Amino acid sequence: MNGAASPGVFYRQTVDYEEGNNSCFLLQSPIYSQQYSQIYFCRLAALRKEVESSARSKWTGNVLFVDRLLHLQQGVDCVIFGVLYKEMDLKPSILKEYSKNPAEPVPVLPVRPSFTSDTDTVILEDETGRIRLNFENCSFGADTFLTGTVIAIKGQETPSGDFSVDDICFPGIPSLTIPYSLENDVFVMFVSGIGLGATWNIPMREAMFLDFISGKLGNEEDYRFCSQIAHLFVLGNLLCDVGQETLMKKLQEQQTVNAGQQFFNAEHLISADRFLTTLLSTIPVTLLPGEMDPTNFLLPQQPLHPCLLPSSSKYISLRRVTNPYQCQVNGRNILACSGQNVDDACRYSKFDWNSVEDRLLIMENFLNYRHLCPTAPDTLPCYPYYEEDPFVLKECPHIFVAGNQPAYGTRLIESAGTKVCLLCVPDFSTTGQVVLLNLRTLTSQVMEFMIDLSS
Amino acid sequence: MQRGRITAYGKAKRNSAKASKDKKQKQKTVVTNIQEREQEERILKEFDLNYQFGPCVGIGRLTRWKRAQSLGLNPPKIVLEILERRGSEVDEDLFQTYKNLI
Repeated sequence: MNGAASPGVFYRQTVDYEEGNNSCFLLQSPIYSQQYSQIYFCRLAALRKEVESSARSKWTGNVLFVDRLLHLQQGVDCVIFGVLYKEMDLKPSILKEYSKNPAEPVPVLPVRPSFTSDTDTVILEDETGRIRLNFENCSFGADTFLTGTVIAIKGQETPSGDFSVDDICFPGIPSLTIPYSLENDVFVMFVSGIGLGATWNIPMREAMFLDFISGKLGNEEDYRFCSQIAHLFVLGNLLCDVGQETLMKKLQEQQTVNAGQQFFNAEHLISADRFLTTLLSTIPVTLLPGEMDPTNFLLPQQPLHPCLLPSSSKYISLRRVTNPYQCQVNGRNILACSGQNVDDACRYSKFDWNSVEDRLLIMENFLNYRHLCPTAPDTLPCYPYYEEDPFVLKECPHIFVAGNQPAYGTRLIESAGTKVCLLCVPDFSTTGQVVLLNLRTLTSQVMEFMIDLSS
Repeated sequence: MQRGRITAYGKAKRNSAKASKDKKQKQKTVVTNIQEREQEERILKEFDLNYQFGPCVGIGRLTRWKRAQSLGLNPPKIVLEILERRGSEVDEDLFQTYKNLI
C-alpha cells in the first residue's frame, strides 16, 4: 500500500506491529510491604551466570573464581561477583533529614547536577557480605560505576580489609536475533516532551506538527514522504507539570486555604485529548507515560487511564502502554523508555548534563550491564519487585530509544554482526524536533518545526 | 444385685483401662506429632536462613520457594512437601511470629 492509487491520494504504509513481553511491567495487584533487598537478590540471581561466563571467557588464566564473598581469602588473586553500591555524600538520603543534631543544617541537595564528589566509595555486595573496592592499582575511578550493576571483579583482598581491583567485567550485550531485511524504506517517528500546557510551549509548533502528520503541509513530495511514516511513538511528557504555578497564584490571592477546594485545571488534559484525536485519525500512536504525566511515579509507569483521554481512547489506533515498553515493528525489537533512567545514571558520573554523546554512552553501558535502570531502586524510584527483576535485559533490542533528552543523538553499535541503533529523542516543547527512524537502514534523521517570530 | 454390681464394677474397670490405654496412645501420637513438627520446623528454618535463596523477611515461604525454583537455584523439594501439607500457614516467613512484639 505504498503508491498512489490515483494522482494526489497517498496511503500510509503499514507495519507488522507486535507487542513485546510487557506483562512484567503491568502491576496487577501491587503490594508495597516488601523490602528492596528482594529486587537486588533477583537481579543478582538472574545475571550471576551471565557475568560468570563472560568473566571466564575474558580471564582465561589460572585465577580462582570465588563463589560467595564469605569465602574470600586474603592475598589470593581471585574473581568475585556481586552488585555494586556507590556511597555518595551528595546523594539524597532521607536519614539526613531526620538527623538528631538540630544545629546541622539540612543539606539542600542538587537535583540536576551530579551527586559525585571526591569522597565516593564503591562497595561490592552479594547475599553473604560486602567489601569496599580500592582502585589504586587500576585505571578506573569511582565515577565509572553505577549502583545496582552486576559485575565481576578481578583482584585481591588487602590486609586492610578492602579489595584491590585489577580489572572488571560486565555481563556484556545480550544475544540478538537477526531481523529479516526490508525492501522499501519504512519510517517510524519518535517524539517526546510535547508538554501541552507548559508556559514555554508554542501552540503553533504543535499545529504545524499535526498538519505535517496529516499530510496537509508541503507539496507532493512531502506527502509522499509522510506516507512512508508508518507509526508514531510518543515517549512521555505529553502534558506538563504546571499545576503548581496556578495553585500558588490562587493561594496568594485568597487569604484562607480551603482544603475542600480543588484547583485542578483540566484544560490541558482536554487539549491533550483533542491533540491525540487529531493524530489518531491519520496515524497509529503508541503513548508512553513520562515524568510529568498523570500516572504513577514509580517505575514501571502504568499506562495512562482511558478516562483521562476519553475521545482518544475510543480509537483502536491508540496504544496506551507502560514505561518502559518493548515491541516488535517489522521484526525489529524496539525498547523504548521516557528517559528517567538515563537522566538518573547521568547524575552518578561527572558527565555534562546536556552532552548527548555521554548519554549515548550511558545507553550503551545499559546494554553492557544487561539492565535497563540499574540505579533503581536506589535513586530512581521503582516498584519493590520480589519474584523477578523485570528490568533485566534478556535479549538485546535492535532499537533502544530514550525520550526527553536534551538533544538529538544517535549511535550504531555492532553486536554479533547485527547493528543496534541507540537513539536519544529531544524534548519537543523546547526544541521543536522530532526524530524519524528508517527501519530498513536503522539510520535516523531529525525534523525540526521552527517558527520565525522576528519577521 | 451384687453380681450386677461386680459386673458393673468390672465393666467400669475395663472401660477405665481402655480409656487409659487410649490416653497413652494419644499421648504417644501427640509426642510423635510434636517431634515431627519440630523436625519440620527445623527444615523450614534451614530453608529460611539459607542465603542462596535470598532474603527471607517480608516474603512468604511458598513464594520464596517458587521464586528459587524459577531462578534455577534448585531448592529442596521436601520444603515444598511440608508447605503444601501445612496448607494455611504456607505464606508465613520465619519472623512473622515475632512481628507482633515490635
